[in-house]
Amino acid sequence: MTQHTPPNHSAKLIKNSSNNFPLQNILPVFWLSIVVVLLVATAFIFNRGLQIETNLLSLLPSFKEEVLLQKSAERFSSQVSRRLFFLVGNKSEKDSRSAALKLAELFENSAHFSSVQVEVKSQQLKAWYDFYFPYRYQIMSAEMRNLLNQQDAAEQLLLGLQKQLYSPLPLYSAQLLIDDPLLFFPAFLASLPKPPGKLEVIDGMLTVRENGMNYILVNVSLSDDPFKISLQPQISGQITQALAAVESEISGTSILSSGVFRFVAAASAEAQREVSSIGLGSLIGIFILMLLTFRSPRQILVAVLPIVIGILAAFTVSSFVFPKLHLLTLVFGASLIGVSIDYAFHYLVKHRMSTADWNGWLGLKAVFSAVTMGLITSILGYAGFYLTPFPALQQIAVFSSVGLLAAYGTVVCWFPVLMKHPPEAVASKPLTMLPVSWFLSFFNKLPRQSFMTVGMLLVGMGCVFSLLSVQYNDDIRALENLSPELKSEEEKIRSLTGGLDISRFIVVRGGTVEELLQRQEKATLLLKNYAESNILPSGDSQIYFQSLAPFLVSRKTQAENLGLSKNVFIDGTQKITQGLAELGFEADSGKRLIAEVSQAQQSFTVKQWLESPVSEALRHLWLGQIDSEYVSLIMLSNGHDPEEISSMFQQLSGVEYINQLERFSALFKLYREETTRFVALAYGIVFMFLLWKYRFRKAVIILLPPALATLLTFSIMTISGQSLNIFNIVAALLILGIGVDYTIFFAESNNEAEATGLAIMLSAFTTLLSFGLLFLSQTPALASIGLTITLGISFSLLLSPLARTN
Amino acid sequence: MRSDFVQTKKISVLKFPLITKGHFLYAVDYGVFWKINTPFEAELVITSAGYFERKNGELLAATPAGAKPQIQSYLNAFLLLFSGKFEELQQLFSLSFLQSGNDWVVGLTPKGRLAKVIQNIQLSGSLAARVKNLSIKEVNGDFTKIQFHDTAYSTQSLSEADQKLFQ
Repeated sequence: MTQHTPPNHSAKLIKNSSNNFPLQNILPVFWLSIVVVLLVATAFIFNRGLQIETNLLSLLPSFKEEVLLQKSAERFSSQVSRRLFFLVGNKSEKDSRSAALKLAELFENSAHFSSVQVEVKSQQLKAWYDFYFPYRYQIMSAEMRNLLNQQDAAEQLLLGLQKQLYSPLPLYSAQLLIDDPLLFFPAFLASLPKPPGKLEVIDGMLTVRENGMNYILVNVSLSDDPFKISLQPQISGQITQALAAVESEISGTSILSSGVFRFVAAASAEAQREVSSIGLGSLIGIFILMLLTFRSPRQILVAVLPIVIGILAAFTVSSFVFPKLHLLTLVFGASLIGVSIDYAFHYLVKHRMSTADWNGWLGLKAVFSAVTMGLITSILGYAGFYLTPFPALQQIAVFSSVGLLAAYGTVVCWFPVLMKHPPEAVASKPLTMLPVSWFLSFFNKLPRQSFMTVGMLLVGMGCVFSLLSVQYNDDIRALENLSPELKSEEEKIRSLTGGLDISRFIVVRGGTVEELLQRQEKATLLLKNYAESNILPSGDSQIYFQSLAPFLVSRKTQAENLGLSKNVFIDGTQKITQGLAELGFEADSGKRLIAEVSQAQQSFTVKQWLESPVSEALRHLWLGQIDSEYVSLIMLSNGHDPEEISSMFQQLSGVEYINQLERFSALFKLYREETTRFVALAYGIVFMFLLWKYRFRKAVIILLPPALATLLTFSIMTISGQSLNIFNIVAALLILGIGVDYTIFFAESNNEAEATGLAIMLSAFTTLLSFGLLFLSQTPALASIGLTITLGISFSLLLSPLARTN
Repeated sequence: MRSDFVQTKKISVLKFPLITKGHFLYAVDYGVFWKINTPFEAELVITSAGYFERKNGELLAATPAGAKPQIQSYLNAFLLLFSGKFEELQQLFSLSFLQSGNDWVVGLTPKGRLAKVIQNIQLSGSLAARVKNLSIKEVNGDFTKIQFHDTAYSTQSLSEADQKLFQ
């Protein structure tokens, strides 16, 4: 082979009637300037601060008609995701309190945490009084309204007062009795929902007791976005240190923690570890293969160069195009190593197999067509992702296309200069050529190609038949990697504090604040009735919900309430005045009430409420203005029945129950189907391109191996009982992009099947090494992609020589 | 312990004291059943779980102990007063004791969180009929005096009808 390659080679060059590659003097400098610009841009991005998205939910596309819901969910989760919860437990109540204070102090001393809350401020009751007291006749509980609607409302109010006064227990403050003798304000306070779970306020701290342990809740907000990856290790470290410090200082203390950050930080630490191990494993594999093939470290450095520039370009350009890169995009980036090295290998093998009359630019000319065709088909395959509505797929489209283009540019513009000199080991076959020769000679012994094609079609039909029983699993929870320890801690905290469901909630919207508040009241009334009809044997309701309705009352309801109060006071003036006097109140008390209720003022605004400390625990429910509408949320406890809740609100306009999990799983299904159609389309586009370039028969033989490889892969996964999801379908597109490279290289090999075979085998093994490691990932989505690619690329490699020219 | 009581409550902002009469039942493992006869009728049940208002066996209103911490510590102290568990009382109050002949007076000054509500408590009685008077002076100036008379003690467990009062 090596002996008769040079004549062929030069014959081809002479036929091309030029010894130069177009623009060969400009290309290296041109590429250098691009790389310099790239480096500056990369420095700028690192300087700006990296943000990596690890939340799988952010992979979801946004629908036009759902924009408001989507934005509501996003705004809500950006608030919720900053929160961290700690339950500081100790057998001794005193020790648990001092441990909680100690922990809070440690957090307060760090810039990473804001609004550290351990004590429920003692002035809070005063804040409630200051804020709500002036409106006591217009903001009231449903029970008080019922009472006021009754004939003997005045008598009942007086009886209520009497009961309080005559009770053996201590009373409200003296001032309150004078200002509000009929106890409207205490009735309002008493009607407000209690904190969920077993939490209670003991001496100003939220406390829960269980199994002899006394736990204090410490509530912390992060100053920064928890998804900011550069800060995660630091913040995690500080948390771990703080917990350890408190636990060792006050013996017998154990601290439970939870919060989105804990999961995110664990997942991204794991992912970073995986990405670096996959990257490292891939590089070691490549290193060994290349050492065996080229016997020179120089080629290794040269081969790595396009990868480095490719990833750098991919990362930098994607960072400019997208506000936040998703973790999956980066992992695909690590895998891109396996793909973009195809071009380098193709050139380097050409160099390795050449003789003393090697010319770098002429060498490029020999592989240019194959490499360029490979690039175009791959980009055609990947760039199509950009048309899908999935943000991560769009990122991957840009990331991989840019990466491939930059790697290609490096090979084309720099390799002829870098590999100017002929190989040192001329005329000795590389060690790795041995298996390639065996493999190709095995193919040469096979029956005629047309016979093979028929055989392949039969195998393909068998695969299609087995795929009739394919199973899909679109449940997003199956794709996430949540640390089991963190999960059990979170469940424990949830059971103690009665945490609310953050993925299933009710969105209320209105064109005006008033419309929103009225709808919120209607929805809350429905929920209240529902909760009261679902009482557990313990006497608690199965459903706990958190709504702003009792705290932010619509103007309409306020006017009604005020009217009711007025009527009762005016109709019952006589009775109230007399009743109060009998109890020993000042004689003018009754008249004063009537004067007060007539002077009642315009109520507070939402803005004032948000600025007041009384809203502190509830502000997250008010999402404010989104586009042209106002939005608030009602949160529910875990125990609710999604179907009952969603059907409850079908009649109420502007009130929607959002089941994020179900919605996401439904969307994953929809887009799995969409992507499946898209894979078919991509095959169509690539086939059209091949038809434009080659004859029909050749186009078919180029496209058949990756198609069959994909079918075989899914067929094997189905038969072995694995279910498929969108990520496997995405992987099918990658198989197309990579598999077509192999067949095109063979098709363009100009009877140099062995050299091409070596280049393809080198690149296939590097791809397998990187993806093979990928399926060791703890993230099921990545592991699944890894398996699909491993099978798909192996089959592509095995079938690719079918496209060789004889 | 069963007794009739007269409660005189002087609330600082009201012109005259409020007087309540009724029936009182204390059982160690249950709590206090407080039946008001005049000036109106009401049934109150005070247990460590909370403060409940009832009418003919039906629950009208409940204030669970957990809802307000002050109520909880007050309820505990209130129940302890009748229990005679001095060791537990000593954790909440500093005690002083006076005796002359058959008559005795215990003064209780609260420690800790209770001190925010209550200034002091006086419990007095004679050896024959143990508790006679209970006076509670609150920090805000309110004053409650409960007089017990016709008191009867029993070591027998509650009858079924009485047990129902606490349910």
